[in-house]
Amino acid sequence: MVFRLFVLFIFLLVFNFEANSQTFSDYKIIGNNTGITSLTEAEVKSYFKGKYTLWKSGKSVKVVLHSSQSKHSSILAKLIFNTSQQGVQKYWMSLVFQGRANPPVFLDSDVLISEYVAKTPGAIGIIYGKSNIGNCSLIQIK
Amino acid sequence: MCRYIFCIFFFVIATNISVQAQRVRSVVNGYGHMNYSYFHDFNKNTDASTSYFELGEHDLFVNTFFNDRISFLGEFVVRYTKGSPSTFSASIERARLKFDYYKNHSIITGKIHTPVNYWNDVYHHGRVFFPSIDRPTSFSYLIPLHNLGIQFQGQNLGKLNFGYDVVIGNGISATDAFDDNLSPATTVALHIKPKDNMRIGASYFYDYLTDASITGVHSGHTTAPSHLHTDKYTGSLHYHLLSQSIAYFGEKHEFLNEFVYNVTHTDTLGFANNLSNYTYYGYRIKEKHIPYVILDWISIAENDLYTYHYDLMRYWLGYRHEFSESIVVKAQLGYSHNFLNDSHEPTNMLDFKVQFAYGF
Repeated sequence: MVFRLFVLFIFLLVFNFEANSQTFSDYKIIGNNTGITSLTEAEVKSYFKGKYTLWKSGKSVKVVLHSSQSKHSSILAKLIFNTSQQGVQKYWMSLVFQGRANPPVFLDSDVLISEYVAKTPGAIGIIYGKSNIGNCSLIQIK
Repeated sequence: MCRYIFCIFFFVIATNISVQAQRVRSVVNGYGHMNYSYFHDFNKNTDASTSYFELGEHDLFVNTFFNDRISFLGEFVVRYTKGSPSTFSASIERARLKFDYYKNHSIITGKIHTPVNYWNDVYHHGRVFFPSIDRPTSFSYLIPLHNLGIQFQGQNLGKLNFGYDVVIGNGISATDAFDDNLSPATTVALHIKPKDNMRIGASYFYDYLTDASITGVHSGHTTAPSHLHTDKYTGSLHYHLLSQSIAYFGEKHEFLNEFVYNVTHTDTLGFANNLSNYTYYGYRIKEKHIPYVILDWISIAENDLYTYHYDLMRYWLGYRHEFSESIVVKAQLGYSHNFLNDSHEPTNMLDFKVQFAYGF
């Protein structure tokens, strides 16, 4: 009995660790009329941090992020911004207030993000690897 | 037939305007704060203490995107103003049109916050972003807060995330509709962001004032309030300002240093050298608790004919609690005193302040 509990404990520990230690390979980067087909991980982070204003296509960069209602928000906040979801919200509020970046759009799910990106030229978003990209373009991570 | 063609023409124009209107996107935010302050003046024998609540600035912030490259940013503030009929007044703190012409390069025109240092470029009127309750003391005396003109901006260039801001506009003695001389104020500011959450920058600002006694809306300050001389210098004055900022707001440590070196030149008393330094350090305990300390001093030379002779030292011990990204409470205990009393009222003050700041 003790052994079984121990195995269950180890299983839960490993499962929990797996669930919280996602990498970029678990996600898809989607875009619309961005003029690019691939990005490095560092470039992906830079785009989501609002460091770029215009795409090569001439369209403005429109960042689409997961809101606090999304189940991926905490993982992506850590993965991209190395902070909490609250930290991401604060980061963007401050950047927009400075007038140095256009405000991002925060949406609640992968479906809403892919729908928004599909109808917004210049938009870039990130969704879970198993989610459908719809009419968006897939941006490969180098 | 003519009427028929006119109707089609009108319909086409109306439809086009409607489509254009749908493409314009606006985002509106609000910011505000409320304070409680307690002061104890050690130089007074009677009525040495005062305390009061204060309704602070309330800020309507508007971002509008006309198309992929042209946007508008406006910041409209309502604040308490003693003497106005309603005891409140409204002001346009920022109103600027931005044109992103190439990659991360932009041209901006309108009223801006002069990008001379980190604080003035980043925090503006949003108290929810301030790491402490008050601005550095130099903001009350030396920093040219606003500028109205044209700005050339570049950011996040190269590996070091280099950025530049060049501004040509109305000077510190100007209003939002008038300047009293031909010489515009010039700002050149450069910065790098070598790592996330870090920014190091330096700037140079120059302005020529025909009459040094005139303080326009862009200075954001006047002669030191405790200045005892009533007759101000009315001759011309050259105003030079060198600033340097080091900012790091990491996961645990927060550090900000704002150094200002100001030189004023008059034909009457020559060059006057003024200095100011503000240092903030905070340490984040867990996610929402940030105790901090501040050392802030300013030294204005005896022969300065714009701000006038003044030496002030301030120390603060504070605590910031971030309930969320949009509501923050801060509490500060501070002590301030000036060294010289020949041209200013002496300052020997203990104060305690609490601030609620919010944004939405």
